[in-house]
Amino acid sequence: MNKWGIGLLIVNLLAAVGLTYYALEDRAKRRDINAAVARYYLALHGLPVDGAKISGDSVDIHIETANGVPIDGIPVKVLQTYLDAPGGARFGATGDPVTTQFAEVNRVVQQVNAAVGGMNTPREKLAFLAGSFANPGGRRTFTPGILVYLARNADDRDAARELAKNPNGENAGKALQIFSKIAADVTTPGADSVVRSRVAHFLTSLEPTDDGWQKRVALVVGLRTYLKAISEQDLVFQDIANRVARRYEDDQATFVAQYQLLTKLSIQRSLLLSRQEEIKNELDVQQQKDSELLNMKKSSKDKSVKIFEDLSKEVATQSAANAALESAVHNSQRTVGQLLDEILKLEADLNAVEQQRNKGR
Amino acid sequence: MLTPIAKALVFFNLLASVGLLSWAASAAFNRPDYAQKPADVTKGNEDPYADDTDNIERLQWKVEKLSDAIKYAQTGYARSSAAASDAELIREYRAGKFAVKLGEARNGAFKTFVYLPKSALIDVNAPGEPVLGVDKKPVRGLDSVQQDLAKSIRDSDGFLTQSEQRRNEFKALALDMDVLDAKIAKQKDILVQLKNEYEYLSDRRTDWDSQLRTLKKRKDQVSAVMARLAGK
Repeated sequence: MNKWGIGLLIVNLLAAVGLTYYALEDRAKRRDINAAVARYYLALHGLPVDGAKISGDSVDIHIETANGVPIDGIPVKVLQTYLDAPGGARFGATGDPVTTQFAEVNRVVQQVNAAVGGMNTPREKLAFLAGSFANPGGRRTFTPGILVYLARNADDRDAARELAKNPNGENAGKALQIFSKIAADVTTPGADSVVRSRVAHFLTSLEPTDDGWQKRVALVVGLRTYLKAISEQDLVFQDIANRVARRYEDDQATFVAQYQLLTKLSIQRSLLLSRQEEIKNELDVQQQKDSELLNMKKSSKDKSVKIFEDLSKEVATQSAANAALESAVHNSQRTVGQLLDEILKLEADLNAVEQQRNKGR
Repeated sequence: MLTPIAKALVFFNLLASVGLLSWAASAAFNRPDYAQKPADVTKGNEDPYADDTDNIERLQWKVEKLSDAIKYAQTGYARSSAAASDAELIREYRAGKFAVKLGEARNGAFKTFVYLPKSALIDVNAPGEPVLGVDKKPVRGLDSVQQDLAKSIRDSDGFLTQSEQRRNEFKALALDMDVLDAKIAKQKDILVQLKNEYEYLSDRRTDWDSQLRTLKKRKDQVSAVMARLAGK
């Protein structure tokens, strides 16, 4: 090989090394760009609803991009970087990142069930699931629970609040049943947009007041669906508030009707009472008169009894006097009889004496 | 003359050059718009709901616009949620106050309604004035009136019962009095008869006493004659 050949070979080898370096550099940049595009698409659309799994170092997520070049699979690290939102204290995630929205739903449902299972009292369970009432400083407040936030209409919300009003074991069981049914409905198959909307509504409603959790939900369901979900629920809340406000007037109309009926009845009864009081007073006067007449009659009877008793005594006294007199008469009669007998005897003796004297002459 | 090694290298070099040229041409003609974007597209007119680009900057704009919208939506969500809870609490509070007023309407007194300014709603915290009845007196609660009415009816029934009892007692006393009067009349008759009998017996006793005195004189006379005759 002459000098030119050797020189060209060296130049050629150097060019090949440079090109190889350039190609590797380009590949790395392209992967970075692909990862960035994938994260933006995930941010806009969210995780797949179902089906994506981790295999090795990558997640088999398929993303159709606008330029027609699909992204098939992203590194696990990209997903971990994307889901850099643990989700708050209550529903925070640890370990491998979830790869689908259904996986996230199932994960939080398990956490809800575990949290409810760990609570000791029905009051705690209902406060978590349905909400809780309190009266700090004499002012009644309500802290909504999951079911109240999940309610799609005023009736469902009222039902949840009614459960919260009576924190007992029965209501806690009912609340958990309702939650389980809603959670099962969320993962029911359906049109992709419908299912995404259901999942977004379910996840956002679990803990709307926790910014950490809401950030995670936005990343899981995607910003568009998240925005749509909270906007729709905002309208639901507005509708509920408006319905409740309209019920002020219904409640008031019912109250006024009852109040006026009571007023009318009370006035009528007051008139009846007035008349009845007059009748009562008349009857009272009459019974007092009857009482006076009765007392007079009793007094009269007492006098008659006294008269009768006096008469009876007088009769008895008179009767005794008559008996004594009658006895005295009988004694006189008997004495007269005895005297008559004695006189007759004396006269007989006298006649006998006179006859003897006459014979003697 | 080239050696066989040099020939092979040239051939390999040629193949690599054609491959790189093809790849470069493909990359140039199928260039994705990761960095390039149309000049008329700005963040202001970027549609965050359209999947129309892979341009990193535009994707960033979409995300930022959605994030801004989410902030507003979250504010609205929180406000609406609080408004719903407030409305429910207000409704329950008003319902509780209405229940109290209905309780007063039963056991206290009726009051006039005071309405909130520029509203058809009743001010449930305003005390109101007493509602006056036809007698110009405050109308009392229905249950209170009912209780008084029931008591008045019971009292009236009691008075009626008392009157009836006293009249029955009066009738019984009147019957007793009739019997007693008859007995008194009889006793009076008996007493008159006894007194008459007493007078009769007194007269008889006088007669007998007179006769007794006469007989005693006769006896004394006969005894005296007998004594004289016996003495001679």
